[in-house]
Amino acid sequence: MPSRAPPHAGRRLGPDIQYHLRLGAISKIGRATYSATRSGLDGLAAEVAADGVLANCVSPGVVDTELLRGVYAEEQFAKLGRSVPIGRLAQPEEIAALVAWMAGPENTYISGRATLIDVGFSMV
Amino acid sequence: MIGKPLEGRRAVVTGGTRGIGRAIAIRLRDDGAQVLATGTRPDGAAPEGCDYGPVDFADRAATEAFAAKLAALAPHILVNNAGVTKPQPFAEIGMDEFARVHQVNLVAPMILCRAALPGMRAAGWGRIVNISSIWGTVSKTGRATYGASKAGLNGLTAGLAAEVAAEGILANCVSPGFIDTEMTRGTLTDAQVAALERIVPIGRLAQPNEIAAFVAWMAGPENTYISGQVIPIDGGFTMV
Repeated sequence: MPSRAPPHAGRRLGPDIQYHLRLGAISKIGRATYSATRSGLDGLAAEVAADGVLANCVSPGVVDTELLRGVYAEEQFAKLGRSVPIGRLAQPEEIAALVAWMAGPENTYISGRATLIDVGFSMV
Repeated sequence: MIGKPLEGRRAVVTGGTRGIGRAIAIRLRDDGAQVLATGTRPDGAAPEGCDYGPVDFADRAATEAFAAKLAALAPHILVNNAGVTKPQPFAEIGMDEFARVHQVNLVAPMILCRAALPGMRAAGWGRIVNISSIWGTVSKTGRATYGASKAGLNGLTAGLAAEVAAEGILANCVSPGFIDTEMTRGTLTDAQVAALERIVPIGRLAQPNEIAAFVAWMAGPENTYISGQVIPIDGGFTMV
């Protein structure tokens, strides 16, 4: 699919060179790193936005990973799923889908955001 | 993915004949959806390849009548984009105008979301994307009425999202910043547009198709776990 970015997106650093760079950070909600990551990201994003560099933070809720299954007992794991409005934990591929879009050519105007991908875990 | 991502989906885009709404209608059409775009003019027209539905959301009765048609259409995707604004000093806000802005920007979306739910529930799949605004989160002189309506839309959407998440229905708000549209260019001088461009970190206004690209993703099959969010698409404006 051709990029729909306007022709002037990104800054030309040479006769035929145009850079599009996407920076991303994965941060856990409820963790100390979240605020620090987000604050640092805002500053970075503000500085580089005009250079065609977009920087965003994707914040997953609770994700069904081998690591998590190794930490929680079966019943605790099921309870975690029930605590999310959608009734289940996220699969890693669902997080990857958003990251891929944010990192791709279709994202030409979102920067400095910390987007929660948790189906309301943090809103209830 | 084989085929277009929205093949077989029905979508309604309110305010879909110009600006952001038109870009969204075109993008959803290009992604394979059957699109109904609304406008206020009885003799108006939707983008090519989309159906047209005239309705003035400032009229409560007309909104309810359209909601009945929407319910019959049973869209899988609802984009509440239609909106009005009237910047004015707080002390000069008239109650009729305050009510009108809220009727279009908040009450109408609520009525349409409610009308769309039975069809989405029956399908076990639905995507609601409400077009909010940066002014629902931050504000400036003259924006109290509009900001209140958009902040209300943010809260309405979050409450809806919490209720329907387990039914395959995701509801979110997308908050555009400053957009390069005919209305913007017709309202602002070149100097004013240049001043806006200087305060947006990315250094320019957004094009409607850039908003449409994200709305299409949020409304499509790749979004399976984002709901109840208000996501700014503003070139970094609200972060500084």
